[in-house]
Amino acid sequence: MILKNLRLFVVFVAISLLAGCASLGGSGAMAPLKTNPWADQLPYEWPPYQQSDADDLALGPAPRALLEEADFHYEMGRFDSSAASLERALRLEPRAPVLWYRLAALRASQQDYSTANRLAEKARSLTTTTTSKRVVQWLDWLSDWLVARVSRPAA
Amino acid sequence: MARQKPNSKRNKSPKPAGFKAWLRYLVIRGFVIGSLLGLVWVAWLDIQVLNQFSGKKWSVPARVYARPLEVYPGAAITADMLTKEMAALGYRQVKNPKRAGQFEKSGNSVHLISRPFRFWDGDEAARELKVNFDSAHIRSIVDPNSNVSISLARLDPALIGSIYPSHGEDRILVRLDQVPQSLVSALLATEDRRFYDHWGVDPRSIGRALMANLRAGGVAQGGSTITQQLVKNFFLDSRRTLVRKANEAMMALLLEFHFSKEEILEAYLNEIYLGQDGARSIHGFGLASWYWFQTPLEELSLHEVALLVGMVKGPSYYHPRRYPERALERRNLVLDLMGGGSPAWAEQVETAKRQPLDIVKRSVIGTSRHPAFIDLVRDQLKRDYRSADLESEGLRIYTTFDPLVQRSAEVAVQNRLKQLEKDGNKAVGSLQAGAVFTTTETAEVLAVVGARDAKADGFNRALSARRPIGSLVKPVVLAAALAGPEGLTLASRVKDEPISITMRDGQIWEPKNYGDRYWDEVSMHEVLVHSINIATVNVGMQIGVPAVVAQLKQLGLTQDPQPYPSLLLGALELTPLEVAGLYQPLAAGGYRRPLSAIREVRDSVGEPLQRYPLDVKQAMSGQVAALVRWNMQQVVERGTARGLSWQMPNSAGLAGKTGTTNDLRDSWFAGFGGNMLGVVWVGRDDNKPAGLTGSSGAMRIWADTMKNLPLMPIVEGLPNGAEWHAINPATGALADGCSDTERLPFLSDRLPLEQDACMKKAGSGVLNKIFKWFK
Repeated sequence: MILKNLRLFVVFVAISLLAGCASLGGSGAMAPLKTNPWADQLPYEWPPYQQSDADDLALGPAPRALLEEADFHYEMGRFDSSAASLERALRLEPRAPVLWYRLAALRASQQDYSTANRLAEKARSLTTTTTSKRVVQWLDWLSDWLVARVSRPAA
Repeated sequence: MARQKPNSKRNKSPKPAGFKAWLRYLVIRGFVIGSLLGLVWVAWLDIQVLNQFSGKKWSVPARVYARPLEVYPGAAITADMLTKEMAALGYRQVKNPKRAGQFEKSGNSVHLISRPFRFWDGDEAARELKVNFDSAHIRSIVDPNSNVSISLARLDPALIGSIYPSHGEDRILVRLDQVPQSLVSALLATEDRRFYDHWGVDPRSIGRALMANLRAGGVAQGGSTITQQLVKNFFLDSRRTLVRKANEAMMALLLEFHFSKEEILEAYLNEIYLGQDGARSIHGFGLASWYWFQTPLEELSLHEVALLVGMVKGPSYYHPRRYPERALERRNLVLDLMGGGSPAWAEQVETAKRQPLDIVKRSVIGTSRHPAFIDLVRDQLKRDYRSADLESEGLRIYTTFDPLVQRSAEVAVQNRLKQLEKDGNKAVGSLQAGAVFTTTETAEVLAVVGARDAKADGFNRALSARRPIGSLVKPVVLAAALAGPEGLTLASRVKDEPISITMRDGQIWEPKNYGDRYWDEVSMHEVLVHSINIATVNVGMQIGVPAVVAQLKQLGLTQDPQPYPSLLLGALELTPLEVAGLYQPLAAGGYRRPLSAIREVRDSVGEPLQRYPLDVKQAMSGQVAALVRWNMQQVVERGTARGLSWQMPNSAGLAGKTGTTNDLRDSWFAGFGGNMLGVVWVGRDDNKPAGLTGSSGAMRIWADTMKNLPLMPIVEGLPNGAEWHAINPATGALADGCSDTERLPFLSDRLPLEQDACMKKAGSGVLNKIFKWFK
């Protein structure tokens, strides 16, 4: 993976040099954070997608509305209803990694780590090169968070 | 002597005095004993009344609901599908909908008002929607009043059946505040005008009935109040004896003493017998409304209310399907009684009297509608609930059942079996079928067909008929081979010549290819495409049959089959449901969820009891699943299932596998697209040859079912860890950059070891090396 990225970087630099460009160009994409600044919080409470990310998540308006509904239920402490809204969204778009990720984050927040882990794996299996970088980053953080919890069960 | 006088007096007078005293004694004794017995009798009746009328009055069967239809822009729903769904829900087509449960279709749009419903994740209020369609999808949804766009709405789920003992009462309980006032008015006008004025027994009514009966010389009129009728139905049998009548009257008084008029009326509305559906008796106006009109009680019109009230007198005698004229006459009498000659009511009554009976041809409510699916629901519920609770606690079961898929599958099975029998000169009714359709990723069961007559409540082949699966096992053999340590790939060369295998017990097994044709040597991926038996056996023997058994277990097989070589050709007896369970992980990138028919369960008042949450488990590597899926797509594109493309326009990108067993006894097809998976079996119950291959039988039913449904193609590419390479089809060697090659997917860490001569030559150039480094 690292080698592949290195190769892509070399290609990019080479093309840039050939084109006479001096800068790498700003794509406007979110710069991935190396460490999770919210690792002390429950995963479902990590700052959720922003409005600006909406298009990046590649979701239709219906599942997006259900994501918001799930968040609302969570805030009200209705975790079962939150899960039901996420599952409802998954029935509409069953191959959307962000929906599986949110369900995994919910289970992790409910301390159901094994289910969270399985759902996160499923989310990761659905990621492709076009998947939002933010979703991939969330999944990495969630995996780290789960590893930390499972390895420190008494914590 | 002197002393005798008084004695004689005493002897004379005590007789009458003694008799009187004795009589008085007897009367008092009799009165006291009678009173005591009367008190005991009243107390005994009182205990019965209180015991049976307080708390839970009825055993209410569990009620089973379909999935709610999600309506949102982009959904693959046509106007026709939406109107069919609403018709099944009992929505009324009207001009300019005004209240919940009504809709209007005009051109490419549907204007509807949905019913309110309490879902697990919250209450859904009634919503007015204008749904606009293009040819195959919902284009937009707006609120017709505000013109605001709506991103998502859902309809209330259809009631598809109930779980009750074979000879039981069925009812839907209603509260008095849910009952239309018109129904209460009609009932009181017809059955008990003085209901609110008497104490359970109405002497005036009894007197009037008595006179009428004397005049008629027999029983022409009853004087029972609604309370007495309730007592009769609720506590007593239907014998007409004096003792029973006395019990009835006393219990009616006691009932009125302990309970309010509203409680008695509500109980009456739920208790009354209003029809018979086979072994199931229809009780209460709540269920009767669904049974006769397919509509909730609160949405009934005046003429429908009057018909139900008219049937109280005798549901068999006034049966509106059997005796429509008699029922119509009775209904109109009820309307007249309701109107009572009042001018204020005259117009409404006259309008109602002009209406037809408006009953549905056949009720969609009851287990007889979808017995195969209800069987599955019952099986899955048995893990968590006792049978007695399912039959009595009034549970509400929310399932994954999709009426559109079910209907398509039922029609496909029925029509295609008839056609197959006709084409093959087979006896009518000799073929049978079982079918299961599910979603791929969430593994929810959408439809189950257990027999060619899907309404028949009998042997459920989808759940219970275990038959050899034949070649349906081959994708599993392939998965085990690709995942095993032997280094096999889709490009590996496999021998395909007649073989004989000596079994442990010394017997010799000599499998054959279909048609006795052999390929000598063949590419691994062609083995599945053409379903080649001997090559499959060779692959299986190379990796070991236990590896295939292990793969089956990982995919969810619950049996422990013996690892005999014949397993490699499908000597494994499974039901269509079990096969669907094995194929689901193949369709979902290697992730498995046990097939589920239930989403949630609520108690009788709608409080949540249990959810069946979504969870998945990795059953096989996603890369291997992707390779097998690609190979199954090839089966449809150019292999044994290529006939699909002639039968359905939307076959591109689908994956499938045919299965045929010895002597053409069983015809199987298992296939999936991006969103749905289906498994179909066709054969005979007596296990005689059906004369059908997988593609000539089961696959046709699968195609007939899916061609009318929004089946999505499989669009995703290979996951990380798998990649495409060109190979020399003759040798299986890597041949990237060469001509006359074949492109196959491989696991990234398992590429063919050999390189084609052309590649070696081309790959020696410096530029090529640089190109490869960047790749």
